[in-house]
This record gives sequence, C-alpha cells and structure tokens, in this order.
Amino acid sequence: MKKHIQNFNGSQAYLAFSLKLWSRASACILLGPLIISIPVIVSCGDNVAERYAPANDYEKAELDMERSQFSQASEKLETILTAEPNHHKARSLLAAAYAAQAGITTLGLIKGAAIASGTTGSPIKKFNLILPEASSGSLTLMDNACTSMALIPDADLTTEMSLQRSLFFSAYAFLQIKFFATNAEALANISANDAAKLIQTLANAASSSGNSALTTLAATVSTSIAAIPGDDITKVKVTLGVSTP
Amino acid sequence: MLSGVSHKIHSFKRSHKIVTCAVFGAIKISFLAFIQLSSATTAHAEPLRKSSLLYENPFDLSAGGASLTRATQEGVLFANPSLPALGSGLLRWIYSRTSIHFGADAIDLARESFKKKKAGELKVDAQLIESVLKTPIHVGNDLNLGFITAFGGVGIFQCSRTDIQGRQFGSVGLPEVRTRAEAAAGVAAFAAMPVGDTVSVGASFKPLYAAESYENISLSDFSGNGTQQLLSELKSNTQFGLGLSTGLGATAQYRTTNFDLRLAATIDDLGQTKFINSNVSPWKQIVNIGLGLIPHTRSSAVHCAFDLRDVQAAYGEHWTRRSRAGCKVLLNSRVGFGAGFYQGWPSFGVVLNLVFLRLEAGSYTREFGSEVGTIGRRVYFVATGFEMP
Repeated sequence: MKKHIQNFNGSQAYLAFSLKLWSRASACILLGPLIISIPVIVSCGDNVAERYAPANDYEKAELDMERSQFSQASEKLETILTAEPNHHKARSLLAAAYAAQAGITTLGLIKGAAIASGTTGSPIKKFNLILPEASSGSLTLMDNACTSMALIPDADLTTEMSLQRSLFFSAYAFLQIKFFATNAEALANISANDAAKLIQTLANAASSSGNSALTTLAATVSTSIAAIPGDDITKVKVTLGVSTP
Repeated sequence: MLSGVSHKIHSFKRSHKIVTCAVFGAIKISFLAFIQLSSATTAHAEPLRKSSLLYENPFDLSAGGASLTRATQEGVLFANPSLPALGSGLLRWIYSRTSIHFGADAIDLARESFKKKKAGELKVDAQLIESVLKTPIHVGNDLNLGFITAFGGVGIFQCSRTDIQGRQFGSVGLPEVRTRAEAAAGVAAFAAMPVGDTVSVGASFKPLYAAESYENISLSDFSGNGTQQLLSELKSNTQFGLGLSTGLGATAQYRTTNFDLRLAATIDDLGQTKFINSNVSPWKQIVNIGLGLIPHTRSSAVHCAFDLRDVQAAYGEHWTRRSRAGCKVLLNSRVGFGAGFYQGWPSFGVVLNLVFLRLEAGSYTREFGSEVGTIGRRVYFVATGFEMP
C-alpha cells in the first residue's frame, strides 16, 4: 500500500514537473514570437512617433529625390521657399528637381561629358549624345531649373552650387539647340526672343565656373556663334546648318 | 608540489597575458578600422550621438532601449549605475560580450543579388552599380569585459559605428557620399549603495578615448584641386580625444510579491565631459528619467519601461527623439524576449543564456534624420559572450 502511495506521489511529481516544463516551453514558444512581433504589427514597420514629431520638409524632399519622386520633392521645396526665400540649399535642390523632371541630372551630365570627351565630332553632336529628347516641356523645366539657380546670389553659392549651375546652364543651352535641330518646324518659326535666349544661355554657360569639359564645349559654340554676322535668328540658323551667313 | 603551483601561476599569467593582448588587440584593430573607414570631419558643435547613451547593450536596444530601470549586465555601467544595489547577492556578473551590428539595406541587396545569381539573372550593369552606390552601409561592433557586484564593478569597453551612404542628389542636387562614424574605448567603473530598502544610488566613471567623424563628400570635391583639399580635410578634421565621463543614478523601487514599480533618474556627463587637447565637442550634461512596471513570479518577469532622455533638452532634440519604450520578458533568467520602440521605430530581439554561452540577436532602427521617422536605418545585431554566475 505504502509502495503504491509512493509510486502515486512519484508519478504526480513527475507529472507536475512535466507540466511545469511544458508550460515553460509553451510560454517560450508562444510568448516569444508574440512579444517580438507586437511592435512590428502595431507600427507596420513605420515610426509610431513620427506623427508627433515636427515635420522636416527639406529632409523629406531629399528622400523624395532619392526615390525619383521629383514632382513631390518640387512641391515640398516650393513650400519651403515660399516661407524662406533665402533657403539657398532648397533652391539649389529645387533646380535639381526641375532638371530631373526634364530627364537631366548632374551625375548623368558628368558621366556623359566623360563619354563625349572620348568621341570625335562637333560640340553640338557631343551634347546630343549626352542630353535626353528635347521637347517644349523639358525646355520649360530646364528654364525653371536655371532660373532657380540664378536666383542664388553669387556670394552665397557654394562650390557644389557653382558646379551645378554651370552644368545646368550648359545643358539648357544645348537642349535648346537640340530642340531646334530636331524640330524643323520650330526652327523655321524661331522667334527673336527664343534665339536671343539661346545665345544668352550659351554665353552664361561659357562664363560660368564649374565643370571645365562642358564649359569648354559651351564656350566653343558661344564663340563661334558670336562670330556669325547677322541677327540672333540668323546666328542660330547658321549654327544649325539650315542657313548660310 | 611547488613547481606544480609555479607552473599553474605561470600558465595563468600566460593565459591572462593572451586574453589582455587579444582584448587590446581587438580595441586597436577596431580603432584602426574606424580611422580607415572615417573620412574628413566638419567641426560640429555637438557630438553625433547627442542624448543617446554612449553604449547600449544590444538586448536593451532590442527592447526599445528603455534601460534606466533595468539594464542588461554591462549596460548598468552606462545606463544607471544604481541598479545593481537593488538586487540580491553580492556578485552579479562576470561577463564578456562581443557584438556586431550591420545595416539591413546592404544585406537585402546582397540577398537579392545572390538570388539573381542563382537564377542566372545577375548582370553587372549600370543599374547594379547604382544600387551598390546608393545602398547605405552601416556597421558597428562592441566589445565588453568585466565584473559587476552589488556595490561596484569595473570593465573595459569599446564600441564603434560607421555609416556610409551615397546619394545621387545630396543636399543641393549634386551626388555626394555622407559618412558618419563614432567610436569610444576605455574603462568603465561604478560604485553603488542601497539607501534603505527601496532606494539605491550610484556613480559611474569612464575614462575613455572618443573619436568621431561627419562629412559630406560631394562630387565637386573631386574636381579641380578638390581632391587635395579633401585629403587635407581628412587629415585635419578627424576628431579624437581623451576624456572622463562621470554619471550619477538613483532608483526607487516599490516591491510586492508579484509586482514591482521602479522609478529612476540619472545624470550623464556630469558637468560636461571635456576632451584633453582635442577638438571633440564636449558632451553636455543631461538628465534622464525612467519608469518601470514589472509583474513577476519568483523566477520570471515582464519588465515594461519608458525612458525620457535629456529631459531639459540640452541638445534641442524633440521629445520623440529622446523617448525609449519597450518590454523584456525574462523566463527563468535563461531565455528572454524583448520588443519595443526605439525613438518610435520598432525593435525586437531574443537572448539565450546558457551560462557558458550567451547569445543575443535582434533588430532595431537608428534614426539618421533630424526628426524621427525621416531616415531610419534598420540594423541587425548578433552578440555572443558569457555571463557568470
């Protein structure tokens, strides 16, 4: 009888121990994944405190640029500039956002310049290799980009901004040339204003400090166009080979 | 007999020497690696870490970084030196820990590339090169060794973090590489004592060598004579120096059979931490407070905590950036799970303590923007070491 009681107690203790062990193992198996997944589920991986933090539109615009969301970046930067017209970094980034919408980036231009320097041909042909398709929309965007860069006073231009301004001026000038070179109707009906703007942009690009390869190309064309006799329309048409001096 | 003892002493000395050499060798290698990875630094008025702790235990990080009312092992030396005086027993831990931290972005890119390679679709083209250049690289490592008793302890530590990110448009529209690196190594010691049954106070002292670097390398730095200028900046602007960081801590505890409540307050970098013969920005004195709620049994506990660092906003950070919140579930002191929100970003981790081997793994997110939720860098960590008894 005593032995049976001992056996029973032993079995009970064994059972209790097993249950205890099982409950701990279950606790680990069940609680662990549950606990560690709560914050991820609650937040969906996002920051739960973001809604309480002050917004930093400039940093968010930088992120939009990296994600190729250029129009969203432009909107944010325009809002910043309405409140702070002297936010020069925002103005420079806005120029980059406009240019990117036109398919032109500083990295693309520098890469293109490196490739073009190894090829033979006229500066216009070299730029045609670098630049994307030209349209009236892309010309407007590049005009916005150059205007934005021009609004930064020379005294406040950093080395980076100077380089970007030089690249955009050159790109805009040659984009205009490309537009008229590939659009016979537009070239036939070119206005005096458009011709003057092209020549002025080329002169701006040639005189700007920054990337020497592109500035040299712009200077070459600017010098040769200045030497052509006649009005601005004639100069442009002669440069593009549809007219003789 | 005597020769046997002498041999043992000699062996001990030798093994001790080997351990010491290994530890300091690792510190030296980490520093050399740090300096090589670091680039030019622009002098900053504030340290890069601002109100964050000098060192955070990885498991504490995975539990949202709320460690003022409960820090893991060596974490007490940095989070709150008064904590060991509240527990029972004299010797708490003899510990060693090595941890590595790596950014999730680079791992994701490597994983995707491996999948493509396996499927025979991997092409080394402009798209891949652009992905590699734009993928942030975040690496870090920590090394700790020491012992902690209820009334004091000492340990050596080394920690470093490097973050490199290429951006196509940078801050003004030009491509740039942003580098940010920080490291510290030194000795951490503390003394603590209970005041009655419910309060403890403590102080920590950390003679340390700190280094940090922050630089945006723009494309224009490589044009003209920019490269030379950049190299010159590299040489002159890396900041490092020797300093003594002092901290104070106090913890109040209300205990019942199955529930504890803890309140803690600490002062970090008491009277500012200044660096000798160095241009390292002084670390400002900050005050931190924490609340801990701990339902528990005899052997297991759930510790939920909230910390607010730098309550006076000495560094001008918004409260969302200074907040830490999370829970740790500790089962029989052998298994632990942690989860929380580190500056609002989700974090989680697990710890397995097998006495001779302690393993920790998890993930947290570090904020690299000026405000939370802007540029979160997800980081994975693994840590190994031992904890005795």
